[in-house]
Amino acid sequence: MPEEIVYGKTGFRIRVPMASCTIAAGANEVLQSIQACLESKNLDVEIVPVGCMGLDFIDPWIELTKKGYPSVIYANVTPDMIDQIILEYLDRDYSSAFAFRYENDTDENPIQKLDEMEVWNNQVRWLSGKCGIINPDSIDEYVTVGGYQGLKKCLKQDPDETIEELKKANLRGRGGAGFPTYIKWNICKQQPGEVKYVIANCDEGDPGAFMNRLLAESDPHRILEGLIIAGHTIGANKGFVFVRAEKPLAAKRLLKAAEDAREKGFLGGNIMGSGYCFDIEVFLSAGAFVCGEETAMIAAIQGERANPIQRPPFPAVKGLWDMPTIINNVETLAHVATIMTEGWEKFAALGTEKSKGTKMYCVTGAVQRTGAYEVPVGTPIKKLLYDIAGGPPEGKSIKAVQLGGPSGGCVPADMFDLPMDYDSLQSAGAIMGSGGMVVLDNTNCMVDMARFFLSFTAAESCGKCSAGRIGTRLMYETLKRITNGEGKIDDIELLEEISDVMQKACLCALGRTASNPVLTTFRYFKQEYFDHINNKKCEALVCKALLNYHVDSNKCKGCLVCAKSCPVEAISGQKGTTAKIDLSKCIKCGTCAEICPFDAIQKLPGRVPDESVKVEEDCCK
Amino acid sequence: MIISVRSISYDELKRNLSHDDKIVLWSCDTCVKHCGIAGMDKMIVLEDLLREDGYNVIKKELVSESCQINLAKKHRAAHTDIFDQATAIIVLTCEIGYQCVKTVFNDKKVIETAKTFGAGNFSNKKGPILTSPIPSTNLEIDPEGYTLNNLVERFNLHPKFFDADKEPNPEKVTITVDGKPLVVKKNATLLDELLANRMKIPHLCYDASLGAIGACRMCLVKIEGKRGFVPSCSTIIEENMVVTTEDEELEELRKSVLQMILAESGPEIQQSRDIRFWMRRYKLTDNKFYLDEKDEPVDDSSEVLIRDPNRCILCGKCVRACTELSGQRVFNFANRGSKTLAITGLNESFGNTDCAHCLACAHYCPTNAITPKSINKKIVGYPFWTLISYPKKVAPKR
Repeated sequence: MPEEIVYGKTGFRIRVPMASCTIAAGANEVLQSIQACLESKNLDVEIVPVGCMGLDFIDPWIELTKKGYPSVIYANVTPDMIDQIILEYLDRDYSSAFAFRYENDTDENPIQKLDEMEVWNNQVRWLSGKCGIINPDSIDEYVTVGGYQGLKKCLKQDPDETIEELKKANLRGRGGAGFPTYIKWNICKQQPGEVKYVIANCDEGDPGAFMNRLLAESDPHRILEGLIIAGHTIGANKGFVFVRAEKPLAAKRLLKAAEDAREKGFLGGNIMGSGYCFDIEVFLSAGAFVCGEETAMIAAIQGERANPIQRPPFPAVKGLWDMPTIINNVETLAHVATIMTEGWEKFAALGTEKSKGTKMYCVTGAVQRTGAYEVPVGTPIKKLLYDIAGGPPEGKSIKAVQLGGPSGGCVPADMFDLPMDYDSLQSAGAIMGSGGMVVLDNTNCMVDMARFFLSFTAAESCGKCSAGRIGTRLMYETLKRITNGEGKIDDIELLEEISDVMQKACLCALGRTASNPVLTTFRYFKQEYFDHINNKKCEALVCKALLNYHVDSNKCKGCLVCAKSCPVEAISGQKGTTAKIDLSKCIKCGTCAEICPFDAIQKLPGRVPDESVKVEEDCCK
Repeated sequence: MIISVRSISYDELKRNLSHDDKIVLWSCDTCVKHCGIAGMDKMIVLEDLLREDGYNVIKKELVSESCQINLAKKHRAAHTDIFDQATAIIVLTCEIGYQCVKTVFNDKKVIETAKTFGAGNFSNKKGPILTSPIPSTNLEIDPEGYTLNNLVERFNLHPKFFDADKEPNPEKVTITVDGKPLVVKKNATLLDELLANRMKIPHLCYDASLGAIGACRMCLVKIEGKRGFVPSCSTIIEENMVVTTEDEELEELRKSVLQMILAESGPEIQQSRDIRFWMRRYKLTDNKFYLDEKDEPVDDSSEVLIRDPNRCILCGKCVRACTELSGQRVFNFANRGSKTLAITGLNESFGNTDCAHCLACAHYCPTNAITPKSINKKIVGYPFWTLISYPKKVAPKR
C-alpha cells in the first residue's frame, strides 16, 4: 500500500468507516467525538471517512495510523472511548485494540495481526481489498492504488482483445445466474447499430444481501471503471448505474464518483485522450425487488411500470429503447476492472475449474461474526460459516443456511461440505444468487422461513403474469395456513403442484424460482411440515399458533410483574401465588416471558385447544 | 353504427402514391371495422399489398374512435417522431374520421378510402344495414334498410376490402405443428398464424390489434430447441420451427393456469365467452386452488361504462387499448405483486377521469369487467355484445 494512502499528508490518519452499516452502528457519533477530541488536544490529524471492510461484527471500528507507530484497529468503539484510545495509542499501549493491520507492524504486543485472524486470512480479498482503506469520495486515492489503469489499458487495445482476456479469465456473472460475461458482451458487440447502452445493476434487494451496497459505498470508482470498460468494449456511449432507492448513500457516492471522474477526464468526451466518449447516469430504482430483473430494469429506466417482458429477444439484442444493451451486476463490473488492472492470470488462478475467481458473500443470522466476506468460488460452505464467520453463537447449533435470497434455497447442515460454485449449488436446489447467506439455527422454523420468503415474493413480484401473481399468493396463503395450524396433509401436494406450474409457466426468473425456498425445505426438512400439519407442533417455537406459554410453578414467586406487563390482561393471580395464563386471551406476544425476573414463563410447543390466534398478515416487517 | 363503403380501388389508391412516400396506415377500430374495410387485420393486408408493390409503409396506427379529433391529436402527439417523417397517410375510416385526420395532419397527403352513407345497425344475418341515410345520398328511408351490397351496386363502389381487387402474396415459410407441416407467413406472430389456421389455442391477454405482453400464460406451446414452455403470442415464426400445441403436459399446465385465474377472480367471470369455452373444453368442474373471493365495489360513476373489478383478471387489454388505441391513458396498473390492480385515472372513480367514451376497453375486455351501460337502465351491466351483436372476431385473412 502506498505511503500517502497509509499515513496521509499529516503523517497521522484516523480512519472512520462511513458506510450505511457502520453509520447505523454509530459511526457518526464516533466521528464527532474524534473531532471534538482532536480539537481539545490540538492534534494535527487527518480524519478519513472510509468504506466498510466487511467485518460487521466489529462495527463501528476505527483505525489509527501514525508514522513510526503500527496501524491499529479498534473494534466496537463508542464515542466516550475515543479519548482513552487516542491517549493509549500515543503511549504505545495497544492492549484494548482489536488487531494490527499490517504484517510489518510491531510483533511484541499481545494483540493479533489482522492477517493472522481466521476471519481475515481465510478470505481472498481480490475485489474488496481496498474497501475500508481508501476514501471512497476521493478519486486521487483510487488512482494512487492503481485505479483506472485497467481502463487505460483497454482504451489502447482492440475491444476484441478485452473480450479475449475476459474469456481467458472465464468470468461469470456475479448477479446470480452465472452467465459468462464475455459471451454476453460479444453478442452485444456484434449487433449492428451505433447506439448501445450498458447498465450496472446495483438493485440489490434480497433479504440478507449487502455486498453491492458495500462495494458502491466503499469503492465506487472500481464499479465505474468496469462500466466504462464495458461501454468501450461493446461500443456504447452511454451507461446507467441502476441503484436501489433504499440505498441513498451508495447512490450519493456513485454520483460523486461520476462527477470526479468527469472532472479528471475518465468520463465524458475523449476519455484519456483516446477519442472514446462515454458518460453515465446514476438512476434511482423504482423500489421494487422485481426491478433487478433485466427487462423490468429496462422498463424502469424507460419510465414505464417495471414489468418484465418475455425473452427472447434478450437485452443484448434488443434492450433499452430497443437498442442492444448489456446489464451486469456491479460486482461483475468491479471484477472486470480488477482483472484488467491485475491481469487475468491472477484471477484465473483462483476458484474452480468451471468457475474462476472470487465471490463476495454476506453472512447474517446465527453466526458469531456477521459480515461480508470474499472467498474463492468453490470454497466449502463449512469454511465460510465456521472458519470465517465463527460458527453459531454459544449454545446454538446451525440447522441450515438459506442461499441466494428468495430465489434460492436452503442447504442443511449435513451438506456443508458442498463447494459454493454455480453448478454444485444448483444441484442442491439452491442458487449462488447475489451471495446472501442467512444462517438458521434451531430457533428458526423452516416452514415459517418458507412462508416469509413467499410473502416477500408475493408482495415484491410485478403482478403481471397470472402464474407468478396468483401462484405466489396461493403458496403464501397455503403456508400461512400451515403455520397457523390449519394445514391439511393435502397441502403438501398442493404446494408441489403450484410450484410445478410456476416453474413451467412463469414469465420471468423471479416467478420461476420463487418456489425454491419451499421445494428445498420440502427436500431437507419434510418432517417439520408433517409436525406442523399432523402434530400441530412447531419444535422451533416460532409459529405463534402452534405454541403456548406456561408458568413454571417451581420458579414463579408470584411477583405478578407479568400480569402488569400483559397487554391483553390474560394473566391473573394473587401476590405470592403462581400466576395463571388464560390461554384463550393470550396473543402470544411473549412480553411476559421476556419480563419475568425468574425465567418462570416458558414457551412450549403444541397447540392449545380452541385456538384462535392468527399470525399477522403483514407481509414483510 | 355509421355505415361506410370502400370508395376507391387498389389501382386508384396506388395512383395517389409515389414510391418515395413514407406511408402511414391509419385505421379506426369502431363502426368502419364492422363494415369490413378497416381494423388491424385489414391494415396488415394492405401493408402486405403495398410492400409487394414496393411502397414504404412506416407505421400502422389503430385508433379506437377516429371521429374524435382529440384522440387523433393525441395519437399524433404520442409518436411525433414517426408522424413527422410520414408523407402520406392512408385513412381507413368513415368520412368523419377522414375530416379529423385531415385537420390534424393538414401538412400531409391524406388519402380517403371510404364513402359514408349514414347510420345503421348490425345484423348477424345480413351484416351492416343502413337504416338512416344522410340526405346527400338521396336514398329513401327503407324500413328493411340497405345492405352493403345494395349500396355497392347502387353507387358503383367497391365491394369488400382492397384484397378483393388483388390477392396479397406475402412470403411464406413452412413450419411443423403437431407433426404436420403448415405453410405460414414469414415473420408473423405464431399465435396469429395458428389461429388463422383454425387451431384452438387458449389466450386471454393477446389480440392482434393490441400486441403481445405474454401475461395470461395460457397460450404456452413447446418449441423444439427452446427451453421450457414458450408463449406463442410472443414468438415470431422462424423457418422449420417444430411446434407442439397439444399434449398432456400442456393441457395440464393450461388447466392449472386457468384454475389459478378462476380462483383469483369472482365466479362471474365464468359467464364470459372465452373462459366458458375453455372450461368446457378442459371439462373443469371444480377448482383445486382456493383463494378468498374478491369483493370490490362496482364502479358505475361513468356515464357510459360500468366497471366490475371483481371480474378483472389483469390481462391488461383495457390498459393497452386505452393507451395505444385511444391515446387517453385512463386505465393503468397500480400496486404490485398479488395486490396489483387495474385502475382508472389516479385510482379515482371512472366518472372522474377524462375518458373519451370510445369503448375500446369494453370491446377488448375478455371477461366483461367493463361493459357499456345500456340506455335501458334495466339491463345495465349485461354483456354488451349480446345487445350490439358485434360480429364474431375472426382471425385476419392472409
